[in-house]
Amino acid sequence: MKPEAEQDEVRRLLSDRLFDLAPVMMVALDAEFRIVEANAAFARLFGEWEGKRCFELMKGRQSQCEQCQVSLAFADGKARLCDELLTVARDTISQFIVRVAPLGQPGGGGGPYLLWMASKVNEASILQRENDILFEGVPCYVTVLDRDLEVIRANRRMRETFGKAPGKKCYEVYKRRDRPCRKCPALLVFEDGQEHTAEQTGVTANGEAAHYIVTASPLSREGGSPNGQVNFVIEIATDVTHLRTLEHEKIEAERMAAVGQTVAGLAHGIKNILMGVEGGIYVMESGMRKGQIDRVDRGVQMLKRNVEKISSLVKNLLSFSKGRPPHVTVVDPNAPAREVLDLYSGMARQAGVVLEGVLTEGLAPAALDAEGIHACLTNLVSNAVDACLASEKKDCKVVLTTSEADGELVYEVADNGCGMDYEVKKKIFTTFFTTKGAGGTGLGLLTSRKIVQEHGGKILVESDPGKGTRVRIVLPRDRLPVVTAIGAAVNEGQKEGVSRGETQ
Amino acid sequence: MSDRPKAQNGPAKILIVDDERDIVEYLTMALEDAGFKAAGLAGTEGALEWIAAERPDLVLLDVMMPGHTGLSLYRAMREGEATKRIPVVIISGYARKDDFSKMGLDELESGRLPPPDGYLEKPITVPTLLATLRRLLERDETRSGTG
Repeated sequence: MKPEAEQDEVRRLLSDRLFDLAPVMMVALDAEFRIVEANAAFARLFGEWEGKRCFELMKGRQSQCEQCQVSLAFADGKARLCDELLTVARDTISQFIVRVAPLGQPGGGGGPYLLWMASKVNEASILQRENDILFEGVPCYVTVLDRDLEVIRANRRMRETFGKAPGKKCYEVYKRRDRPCRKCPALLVFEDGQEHTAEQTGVTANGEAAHYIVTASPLSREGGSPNGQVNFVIEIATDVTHLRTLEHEKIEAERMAAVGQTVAGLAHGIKNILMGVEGGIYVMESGMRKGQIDRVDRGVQMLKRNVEKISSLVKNLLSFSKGRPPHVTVVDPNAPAREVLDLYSGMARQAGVVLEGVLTEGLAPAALDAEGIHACLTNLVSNAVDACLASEKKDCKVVLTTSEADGELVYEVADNGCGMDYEVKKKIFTTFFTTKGAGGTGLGLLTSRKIVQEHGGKILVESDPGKGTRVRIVLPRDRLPVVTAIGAAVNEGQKEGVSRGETQ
Repeated sequence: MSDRPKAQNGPAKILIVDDERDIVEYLTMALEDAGFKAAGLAGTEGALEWIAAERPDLVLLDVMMPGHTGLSLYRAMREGEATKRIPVVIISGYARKDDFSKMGLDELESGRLPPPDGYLEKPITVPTLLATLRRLLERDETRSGTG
């Protein structure tokens, strides 16, 4: 056969058979979307097609699709490639890559027919594409690192925030460092094959600080390494810069509020004392004017009392702001209670209040800052006596109890005085809050709580307006501070100020 | 003296209630020097009864006393038939209304209690005190004169 004849023969065979031999579905459509010809691959999947329209057969629709690529191709005579979901059986939808091309003469524009070709997208490539979308689109910084901590892949967000990454070391990109970070989570993964998380602060391409929580996980590629070694790590970092900024702003706002409250409380205390000073000056001056020496003397006494008050306020303030290192020794837990009872019995009697001690004998010695506990109990008893004085009841009583149950030492001060309403109760641990006018600094309970916390304990307050108040200091023995004082029975010579309670 | 403050019959009678004895002594003395009839109580015990019986022309009251008794006295005065029209001037380190909620005086802030006739913020000087009292007492005289 002559070469030309041979070529013609091949062409004839191809045009006869290619339509059916091609491993893709092929359909010729007219401008009305009617299928005028379809190949065997198409018929195998969609069955009877004669006289049907594409959208009826492949989409189960009654009308043209919203973004019909066929009509667009008919309109401008250009070929198109797109993704389509087609209904291949009654309820099975599969994804296809579709190409539509007008069947016109080359250079002659669109013709009356169009070739529609489609091949099914397989699962692996769908997964791959989904992975790519996920990798690029996830709102995190994602990088894949090799064993040298070199970034071999970085997602869009990472690149946009930290700049071009692939080929550089992760620490160069994230932190502008020249060596790996301490506690690098990726290095830990390479070591033990487990997932590791860390919170880090990096520097963006704009030079701003970025806070992120990064999780590094082993990544197996190509079936992983034969010796079980991790060869790649994927790091996924969530940016928490915004959260950290908010947290910082919140702490700052709270600090400013506390400062404001402190200043307001301090101003209140000082104003009361100033009023006393003002009074002393007035009384003294008017006494001098009138030549009444006893009046001058009264004025001087008023001045002295108020000078004393201001120095005590300042002392309280300093001891509160600085605190004092706990002086922990092993003592009888009843000892500070007994001292406070002795100290206050006279004063309570004078005020017409019964002060009673119910001390459980035989309590085992405990590591306490006896002076601190003494200060707490003094505050509580003094508050209780004041609450009694503020009450209209005749038979007011304050009871100081010591006890131990379930490994917890308990000091309790209960009174049947005026009690506190909700408004007062919620403010009692606030700096400078006082209901005692000039008689209180508003520091007592706050200081007490600080001391109790240094002992690893807590203060519980129960109160009923008009009925009374019960305050309990609960000190779990297993959280008591370590002994710090020289001459103490245990842990002698420990550094002063070291106490487990301080971390509470 | 011609400018001596007077209620309808004789000098105006002022009661001072404050838990600070020095403040009570100071204000009592200053008011007496200015020609008022002044009485002082270093606490609220028996105060309501005293006020109902003695009918002072005005009460200077510290609301920040132990156990919120100053506020209770104010509430009781405003509820009592015999005492509800007696002018009250609140004296406190927290005399400004903005501070009341901080000090648990929400009743005053929220308007659940009628507002006092005046506020004086400590420290109080004698001229400020006298000016406030004269203004309030004159107002009351005018009111009772026209009514």
